[in-house]
Amino acid sequence: MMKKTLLFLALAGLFFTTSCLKDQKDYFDKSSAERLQEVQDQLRGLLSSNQYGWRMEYFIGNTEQDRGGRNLTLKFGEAQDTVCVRSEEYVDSSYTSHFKLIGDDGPVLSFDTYNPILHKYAVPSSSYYEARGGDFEFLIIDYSAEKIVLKGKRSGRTSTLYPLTEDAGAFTNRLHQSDKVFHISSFDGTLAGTAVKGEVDVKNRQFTITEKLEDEYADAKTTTIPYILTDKGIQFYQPEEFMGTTLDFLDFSPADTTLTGNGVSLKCFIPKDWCPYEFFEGSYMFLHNDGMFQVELTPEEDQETYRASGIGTNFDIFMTYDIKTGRLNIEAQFVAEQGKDTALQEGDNYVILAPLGTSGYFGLDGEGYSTAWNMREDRPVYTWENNGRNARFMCSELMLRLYNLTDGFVRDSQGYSMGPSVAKFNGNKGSLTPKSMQKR
Amino acid sequence: MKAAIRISFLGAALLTACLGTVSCEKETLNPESVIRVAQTQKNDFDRWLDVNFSTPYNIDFKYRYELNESDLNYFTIPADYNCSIMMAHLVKYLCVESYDEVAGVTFTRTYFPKMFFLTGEWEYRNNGTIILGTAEGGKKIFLAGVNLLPQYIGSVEDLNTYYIKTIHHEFTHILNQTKDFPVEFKSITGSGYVADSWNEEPYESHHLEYGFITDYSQYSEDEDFAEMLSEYITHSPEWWTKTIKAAGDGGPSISAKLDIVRAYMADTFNIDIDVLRQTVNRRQTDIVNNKVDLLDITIK
Repeated sequence: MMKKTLLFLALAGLFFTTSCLKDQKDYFDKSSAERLQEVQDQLRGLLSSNQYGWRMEYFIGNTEQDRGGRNLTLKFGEAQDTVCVRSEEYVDSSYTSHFKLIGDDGPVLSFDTYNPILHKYAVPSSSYYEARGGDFEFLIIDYSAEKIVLKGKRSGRTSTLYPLTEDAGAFTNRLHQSDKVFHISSFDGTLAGTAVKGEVDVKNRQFTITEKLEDEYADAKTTTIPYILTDKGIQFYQPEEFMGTTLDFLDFSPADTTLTGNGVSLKCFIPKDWCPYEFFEGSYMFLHNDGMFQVELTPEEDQETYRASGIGTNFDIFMTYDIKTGRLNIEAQFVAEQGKDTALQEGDNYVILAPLGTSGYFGLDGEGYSTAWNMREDRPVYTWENNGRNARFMCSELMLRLYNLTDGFVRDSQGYSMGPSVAKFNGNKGSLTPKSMQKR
Repeated sequence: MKAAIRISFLGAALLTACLGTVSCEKETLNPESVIRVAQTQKNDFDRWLDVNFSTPYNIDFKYRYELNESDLNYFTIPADYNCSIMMAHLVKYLCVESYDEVAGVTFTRTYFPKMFFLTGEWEYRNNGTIILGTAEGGKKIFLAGVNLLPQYIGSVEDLNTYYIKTIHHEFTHILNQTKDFPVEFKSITGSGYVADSWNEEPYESHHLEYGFITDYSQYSEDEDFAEMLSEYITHSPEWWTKTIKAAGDGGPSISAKLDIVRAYMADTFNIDIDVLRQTVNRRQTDIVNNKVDLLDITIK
C-alpha cells in the first residue's frame, strides 16, 4: 500500500511540473546567426578603420617547438578584401593577399589566399610535415578600437592586434634592427635579490630562467617563457610568476647588454666572436692545407644549416650553425648529391664526410671544426679550429669515406688517401685539412 | 508483487500519455535563415571565373581557403592568388576546352566535375610521401601544391605529373560511373591487380612487363582504366609506341586494354580518343610555348 501511495505521489508530482504553456524568454534579442553577422560587420569596419593599419603580436608554435612571437603589420583594405602584410623578419618587404571574416564557432578572421610573410610558419614541407606552428585562421576572442584579441585555430596561442601609430615600414624596419641587436645567448643576475642564470634562444624567442644554486646537482626552479621583441627589449607571451616575481617585460640595453625590469637585473653574455646566422651567407675562398677553392654558402630552410657547394666535384656538404657560439661547424655527415637532398651512394654504401682525429679514429659524434671569426665585419675571415665537442678528440683532417648502414663500418674503396671513387674534394683529393674561409 | 507490477505499468502508461501531450503551443518559425554564407567582395578574378566557369559550366572554382573543404588530416595552406589564376587557365584550356572541342559543350557541362578546390602546398605525410590531389565522388577535384606551379609551367611532363593528368584521370572515373566499362577489360590482366602493393617491388618497377601502363594501374581495374585513358591522351603517339615496345611481353595486354578504352569512349560518348589526344597534345604545347596568357583575366 505504501508503495502504491508513493508511486501515485511521484506521478502526481510529474503532472504538476509539466506545463504545456511555453513561456521561455530569449536571453538575447536576436538569433545567434544575426548576432554573429553583426559582430562580423562591426569587425569589418574596425579592421579597415586605422590610418596606418594594425600591428600584430603574432605568437606561433606547436607541440614540437614553441617559436615565440613575431611583430607583423596588417593594413586591411576598405573596398576590397585585401590585406597588406609586413614583418620584422623582412626589411622593406610587403605582400598583399586576401582575408575574410567567417562565422565558425564564433567570428573567425581567415587569411585565405597565400601570403609568404603571414603564412611563413604555416607552410608544411618534407622536414616539417606539421608545419612550424603558424596560424592563418583566428577566432576573435575580444575586440575594441584599442585591441583585438585573436586565438589561433591550430596552435591555440593568443595573438593580439593593436592600432599602429606610425608608418608600417618604419615600424617593422625598426623592430628588425632591435632583433639584430638582441643576439644574446645566456645571462646571469638577480631576481628580487635571488641569484639566477639562464639562456635565451633568440631564434625561437624562448627565455629560460633558472635559480642559481651552490649545489649544481640540486633541483633548481626553472621556467621557459616565449617572448616577442619590443622597441625597448622583450615582452613575455603572458606575465609569469617566477620565484615571487612577475615577469612581464624586460628592457634591454645594448650598450652594457643588460636586461632589467621589475626587480630583475640580468647581465647578458654575447660571445665576442659571436655571429648571427645570416652573417655567413655568401661566397668564400676556402683555404686548406693543399690549396683553395670557391665555396658558396646557401641558407637552408631550417635556418640552422648552410649548404656548402663547391667543396666537392659532385656533392654538397652541410655546415651547422650553433646559435650559442655564433659559429659554423663542419662535423661528420652523409654528403648530399649536388643541389639535391638525396645522400650520395657508391653501391650499397653511403659517402660520408668524417673528421679524422690525431688518435687515428674517426669522430662521428659531433666532433669537427668550427669557425673563429677575425671580428672584422668588412673583411670577415673565419679560421677553422677544433670545435671542442670532445675534449679528447683533436681533428687532424676531413676525409671522404664510405659508410655501411647495415654494419656501421667506415670503408674506403680506393686505398687510404683516395677515399670513394664516386666523390672527391675539388682537386681530386680524398682528404684535406681546412684552414680558413675568407668572404669574397 | 503482481499488483506492484500492474501499478508500474499503469504509471508508465500515464507517463507516456503525459509526455505525449506536453506540446500544445504552436510557435512560428523565424523566417531568417540561421545559415550565413561568408561574404567576400568579388574581385576581377571572381568575375572572370563567373564568366568562364560558373555561368557556362556550373563549375565552382574555389581558390580561397576553406578549412572544411580541405583534408583535416594534413597541414594545408591557402593557394596564392596569381598561381590560382594560372591554374584556372590551365584547367580551362587543357581540360574543359579540350572536351568542348572534341565532344561538344553539352558533354562537358553534363559530366565535368562541378567543384575545384585549391591549396598552396602538397599534403605531406610523415612517411616522406606527398599527396598531389584527390577527387571526391566525381563532383569535386582537389588540387594541392598550386603555389609551386610557376616552377613546373615550362614542362608538359611536370604539368601532367603534378596537376593535369590527375584531372583527366578523375574525369575518367566520372564517365565510368555514368556508364560502366565492359567486363572484358578486367579479364585481360585480371590476376595482376594488387591493391595497395602497387608501389612496392616488384610491381613498382615492373608494371610495364606485367601489362600495366603505370605502377598505379595495378591498384584495381577502375584505376587501370582511368590511367590508360589519361596517360594515352596526355602523351604523344611516339611516346605511346615506345612505351608499348618497352613493355615487351606486357605490350599486347596494354594494347588490348586500349582497344576496349577506345571502343568504350567511341560507343558511349562518341569520342575518338585519337582526336582527343591530338587536341590535348596541341593545347599542352601551346601552354609551354607561352601561347596562352595565363594571368589575363580580362573578360571578353
